[in-house]
Amino acid sequence: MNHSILVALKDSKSSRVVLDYLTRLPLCADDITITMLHVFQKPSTSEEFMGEGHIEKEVSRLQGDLEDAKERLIRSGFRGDAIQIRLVTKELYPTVTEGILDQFNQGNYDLVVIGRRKKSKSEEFVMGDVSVKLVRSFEGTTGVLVVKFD
Amino acid sequence: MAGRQFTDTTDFYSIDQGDEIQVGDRWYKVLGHEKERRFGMEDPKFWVKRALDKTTGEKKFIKLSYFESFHVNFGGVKIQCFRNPEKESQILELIRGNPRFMQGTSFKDPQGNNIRIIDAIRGPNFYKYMDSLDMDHEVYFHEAFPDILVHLIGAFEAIQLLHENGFRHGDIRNDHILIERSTGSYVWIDFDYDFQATENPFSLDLFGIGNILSFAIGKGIHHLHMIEAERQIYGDLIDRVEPGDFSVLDKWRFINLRKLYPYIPDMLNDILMHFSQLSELYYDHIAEIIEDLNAYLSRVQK
Repeated sequence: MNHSILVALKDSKSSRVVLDYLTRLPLCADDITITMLHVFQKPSTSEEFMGEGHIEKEVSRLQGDLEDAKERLIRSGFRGDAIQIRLVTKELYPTVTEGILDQFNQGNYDLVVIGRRKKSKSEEFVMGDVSVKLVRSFEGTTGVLVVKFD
Repeated sequence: MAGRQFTDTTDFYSIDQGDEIQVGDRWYKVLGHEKERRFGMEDPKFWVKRALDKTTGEKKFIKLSYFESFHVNFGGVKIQCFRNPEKESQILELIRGNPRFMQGTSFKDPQGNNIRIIDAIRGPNFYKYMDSLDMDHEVYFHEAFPDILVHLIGAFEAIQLLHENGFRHGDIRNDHILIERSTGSYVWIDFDYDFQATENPFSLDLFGIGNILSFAIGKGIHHLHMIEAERQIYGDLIDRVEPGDFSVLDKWRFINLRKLYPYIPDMLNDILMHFSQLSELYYDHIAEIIEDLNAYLSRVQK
């Protein structure tokens, strides 16, 4: 039976940690398809107005990060044709959580995997936390694997 | 010396008392610069002029185009903030005719600078209003606070309207609610601030709401240094406070008010505690706060 995993990646550090964890799991690589996802958050109106928050410069770097991640999974025994890269640039989301949820709903996934950097309470209050919101959103419906790191 | 006449408002610093500004088809006589009044200090806001509409004789505020970008530290978290007149113009359009917001109209000068003509609101700000209530806390809490809370919930519903339309107020403070003398309405002012996008897009607005709530419930702000220094007011509270009793983003601001005023019901205090260092769960949306406050009100009104 094939299982489909959606791996939401943010930056190179969280990618490394998440992939380290994934490749150590006793998974049957032949039965798994993996989609590595990055979604962009829409800059606030003011950020756009002040010339901040452009995503163009980020796209090629992230594409490279996702390609590297794919290579890494292949070297760990996953089939290349079972790994997809999805860098969503056409649609910008109010929050990353909403982007992941939207992409999840467009596919047929059994599990969502995401990294979570350790945060102070004040940081979580101000900046929010994607993993916490995903766990709440998927509660009772879909598994979410949160890989924590410092 | 006779005042000068301006149509181009780019150099707003040079526009002074006695000068006149043409905005649209009207002339406004500048009466002075508006001032930022906080912590007993007054700083002139050169981009906001107090003015007289020469056609109608009405007092107006003329907000001229001033952009700035800076970083603010909230509980050790640095976040980028902006002053964005265009955002305020968009909100003015959205809330036109809504008595819970200041009203005004936006224009462009010949150089394309944004100008907002804002109606004057007569009445004290919420901070001053609260300061004027001369009664002890227990009397205040039982007699004055319930009506204040009803008004505050209305004001919070107004912020909910902004959030539902993708806007943040950006600078929610006690002195950014005016209590209109003629109607008693709580009216939000000054929404040209904004923040960088985060995963919790309304967090700083919600933090401001928490501060206003704790200010209203506590009939003022209670800081650690006050609790330490003013034993005649706070008694042995200093011996009983813990880090978790203080604000998640302001470690000196006392939030767990039930420890000070034991007649504050748990149900109300629990709402405040969502903003404390003890909390593991924060409000994501203002609707959640409003729902909890309405539930509390329903309980006490029974």
